[in-house]
Amino acid sequence: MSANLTEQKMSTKLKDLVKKPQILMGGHRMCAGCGAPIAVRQILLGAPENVKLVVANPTGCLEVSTTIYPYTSWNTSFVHCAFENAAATLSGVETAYNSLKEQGKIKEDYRFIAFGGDGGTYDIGLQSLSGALERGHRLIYVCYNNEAYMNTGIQRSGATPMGSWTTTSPHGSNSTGKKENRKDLTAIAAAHNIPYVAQASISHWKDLVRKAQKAFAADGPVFINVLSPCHRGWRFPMENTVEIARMAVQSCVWPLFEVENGKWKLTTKVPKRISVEEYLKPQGRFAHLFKEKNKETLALLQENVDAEWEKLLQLCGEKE
Amino acid sequence: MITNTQTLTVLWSVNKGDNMSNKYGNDTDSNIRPAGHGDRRAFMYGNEVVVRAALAAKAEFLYGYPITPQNEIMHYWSRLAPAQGGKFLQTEDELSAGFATLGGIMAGARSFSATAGPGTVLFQEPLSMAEMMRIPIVLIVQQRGGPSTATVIYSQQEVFLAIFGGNGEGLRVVYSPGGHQEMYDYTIKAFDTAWRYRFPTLVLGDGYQAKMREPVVLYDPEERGMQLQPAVPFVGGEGVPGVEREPAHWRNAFSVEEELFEALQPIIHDFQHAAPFLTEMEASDLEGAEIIVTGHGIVGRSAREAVRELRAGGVPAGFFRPLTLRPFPAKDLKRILDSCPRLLVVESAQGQLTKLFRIAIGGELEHRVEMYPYFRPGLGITAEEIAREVRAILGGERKEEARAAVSIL
Repeated sequence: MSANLTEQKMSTKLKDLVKKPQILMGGHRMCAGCGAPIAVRQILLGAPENVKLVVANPTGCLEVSTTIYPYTSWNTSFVHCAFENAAATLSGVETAYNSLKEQGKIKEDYRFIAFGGDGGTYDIGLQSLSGALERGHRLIYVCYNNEAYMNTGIQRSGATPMGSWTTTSPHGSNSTGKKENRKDLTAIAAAHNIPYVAQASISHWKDLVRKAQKAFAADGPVFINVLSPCHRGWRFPMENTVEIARMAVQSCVWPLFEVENGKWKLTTKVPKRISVEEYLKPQGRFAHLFKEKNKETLALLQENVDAEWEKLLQLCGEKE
Repeated sequence: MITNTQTLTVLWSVNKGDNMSNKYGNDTDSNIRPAGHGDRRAFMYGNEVVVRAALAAKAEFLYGYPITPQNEIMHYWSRLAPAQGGKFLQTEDELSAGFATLGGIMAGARSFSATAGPGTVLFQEPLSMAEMMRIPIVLIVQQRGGPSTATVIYSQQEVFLAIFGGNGEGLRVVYSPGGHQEMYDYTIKAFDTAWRYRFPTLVLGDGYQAKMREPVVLYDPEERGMQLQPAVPFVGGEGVPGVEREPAHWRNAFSVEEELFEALQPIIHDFQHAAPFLTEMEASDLEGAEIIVTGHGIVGRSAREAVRELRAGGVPAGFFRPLTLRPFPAKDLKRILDSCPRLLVVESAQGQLTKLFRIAIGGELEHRVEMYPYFRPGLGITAEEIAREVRAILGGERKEEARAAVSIL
């Protein structure tokens, strides 16, 4: 299994990738400057050419904006399910496929892939995701993580960072925004001991495409957590989406790593690290943290990132 | 109720930098003005009306989870409530929101929640537990189209879900307000009903009411002489349990069938005896009526307007609207139908309200009543189309279709 993932490595050269057929087509109605379709396209660039796909999508921005009936942007089979059950839906599809394949009723090779937002993955969909990972279905679950419930009006989620403003974690005289730290869902997925888990960002496309290629090669469940900034919810100019994502990586707020068959590996080194403050500064959702009275939260955020980064470096064998 | 408008202005201005104040309006946008006797007149969204009513009823805690079209209840609450000491907790789904609300109530906090559509489905487990344990939960439901995700906009398809959606006997109180003033009045009332009778109490709104702006008079219920039933803790009373007082023992699990049966009897008894005090309805233009037009919630409003237009045009139509869908105002309905046994039921669902009417009418009367359905599941219904339908019925055009539609419910 472990050999497969690296042996089947395909090209990540731009001149090869541009020749690949598009699966999420243009004309969808995601906001200009949205990170999610970038994440989806980079993931789908990792799909081998000799397989067919079934995409599942729980309710969320991506689903409502790419499948406005009678139109669809998906040039492949597509299942929309409810909010909490993308992983369960794909579990059903995958087991039926296995059975039909065994009976010789399906000849082609299929891969099954879910794209859920952080609300549908970190929160309400976690139970069905965990179940699918534990049962070992051969499916890829991608979380396009924009760190809040954007589709319903920017409410806090389990992925929202501490200190962030959302409509349900407003800041004011008694509040500095969200009180709690986000949960480390990538590590939670890794704890299921599945073949492949990765954390990625739309800013590092080569890293992301390579991870997608490994995901399609894995003979079991895969989870990829992709940071996909939302300028509406994060409050920055729409042309800066990729730049903001890059700053998340450079500040170690969103480190890029993978866990292949239990082995942790840092996939992108951070030679010129920037401060958390520098990353938060251009985002309106953190604007209140730069007031004198909220300085403590700012310092705490840097402390947390430092601690998590240290922990990750150790897990990845970068540090004794 | 927040009486100090200055506090509100401060609250709203906090978010000036992030453009959100434009979207949700500030207190000036809602145009809250004094209206005498400490009342205030306002022009605001239904979701904001719910929050103002909950605050007026001294609600302390909202537990919630995002689902359109009720999101703004959480938004307004998390902005307005802290000034009154109100708290908010967002959970990871509606199951958790429901059980967290029950936890808050058992601890003695006047807690409530709000949801819609698929969220109302997930709410059934906490609601049926609340029925059995007599926990006075208040739930605001802003109906949207189903099944599953369907539309985020509007419907009246959650009537049966609101009443009979759980595994149990549907021992709940369900109010169906038809406008912002009623939304305000009945949300306040729900907090009293729930704690007074200790049954889950639902306010069944819809997406139109949630997202529409209307004039409303905000008032302090206490200033109007309403004494709301206090919220008291279910556990942790004074004294040693089992020695100085009865232990607090709230059950929802039973070992044998007989035990469940016996435990249910007093609950059913209480519900049946409370029903006459709970049922509410509205009726008008009954004199000389040859047809009664009925609908609930916002559709009831179209029905009322249709009857007004018909009467102005010399058509003898009458109007009836159940304000409580559970318990159902069956007695009033029977009295009205006894003198005018022709009924047009209008609803944005395929016969959910009509089924309630058939159950309520029952017996000998059912054979006498000519029932005409007007089902538009998921669609808004105008007064004009209702009036047109009434004219067609009175012209004898609808008999065959009506029989067919009602017979397959």
